[in-house]
Amino acid sequence: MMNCQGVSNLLDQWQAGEPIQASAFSDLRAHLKVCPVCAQRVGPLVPLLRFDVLQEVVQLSEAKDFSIADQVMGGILQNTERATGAPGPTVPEGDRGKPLTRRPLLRSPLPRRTFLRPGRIGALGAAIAAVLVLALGLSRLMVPPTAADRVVVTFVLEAPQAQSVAVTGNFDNWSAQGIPLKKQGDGKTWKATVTLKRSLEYRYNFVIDGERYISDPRAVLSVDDGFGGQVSLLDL
Amino acid sequence: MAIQRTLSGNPEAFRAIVEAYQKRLYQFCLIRLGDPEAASDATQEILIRAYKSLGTFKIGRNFRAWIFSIAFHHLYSGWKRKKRDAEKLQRSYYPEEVERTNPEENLLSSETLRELRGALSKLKEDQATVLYLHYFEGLSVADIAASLNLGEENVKTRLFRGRKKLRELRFQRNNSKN
Repeated sequence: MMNCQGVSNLLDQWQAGEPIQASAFSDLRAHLKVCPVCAQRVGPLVPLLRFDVLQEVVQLSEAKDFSIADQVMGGILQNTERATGAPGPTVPEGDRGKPLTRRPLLRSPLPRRTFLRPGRIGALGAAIAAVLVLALGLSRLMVPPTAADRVVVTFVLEAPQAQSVAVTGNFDNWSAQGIPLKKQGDGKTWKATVTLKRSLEYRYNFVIDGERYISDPRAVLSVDDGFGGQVSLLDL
Repeated sequence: MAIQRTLSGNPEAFRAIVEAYQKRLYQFCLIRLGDPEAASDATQEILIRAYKSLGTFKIGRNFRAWIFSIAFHHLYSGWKRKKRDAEKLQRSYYPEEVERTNPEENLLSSETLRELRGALSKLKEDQATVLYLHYFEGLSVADIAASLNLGEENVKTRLFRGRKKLRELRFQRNNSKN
């Protein structure tokens, strides 16, 4: 059984950021149940220790019924309806792809995920996609010689049931229409070739039938977008 | 896909983001401002600022860290100007008196959390923010560092000092009553 001195020692350990054993945390709680003095002065810190031991974030309750979604959306939509000059999300020129020196793709802190989620892709049929980055020598044949810092990229998606396919990303400011892919002679493959700046990091999605955003199943790296989908990364 | 859809010209898609983060942001603002009405106003302003800045977010990175960095800078920019008022509000919203209930059954009760909130509101801005983002939002030291544009060692130092200060607050209260 932990005593009052033990509680103090444990808090010293916690304060210093040292790991705390789950058993020590249990002993602490047991002590607080029988020691009103320690409970009073340490009790409010228990949720913080709980996080450090059990990784359970502190939950507050006063925001339970809080909702301002209608007010926020009302303001946003009202501004958007004012046609020209309306404030809205924009992608700054400098953010339509960042120099790799700023954040190398392979050093991404985000976990690498598998490209294909059977449930998501299954509805599209046997969708297969590939990004073909042509070699510099070939790209010189296809783009003006002055554009040595450019790379020709072909986006390919196999989506036999799609009526339309587009690709959109930070290279086109996530435009609504995206860059349309053309259906090929085999009736299932869609392609679009675009020229992008070299040494930049791009993020993109395919858009099926103008409404369904999917990641590129064959991208080198696709990551969670934080809202139930994935975004593909292209490192040129 | 809420971000992509919003950026592609569908502002209504931003509602999913509002609904996912409004409570979290409100709690953060409430602790820093102390007043529910001011916290609600600040939450609206932060969300609208996030909407306008959405194009600067690199989809796939930690959105929570990004939106809380907006919240932090929003509150901090107005904090010095409103410091005096905010301090008054904190005093009014977090009364010093604590209900006397059975401490054995109250380790994680709302009263305990109220005391914790009150203690956090007494910390310096920089310490309270990193403690909140870590313990209430579960952000890692690295995420907090990126979010607030600080070094990781700096974040660790602030966490250490914040924990130390919280302990002192608790012991101080106890000693003052003895």
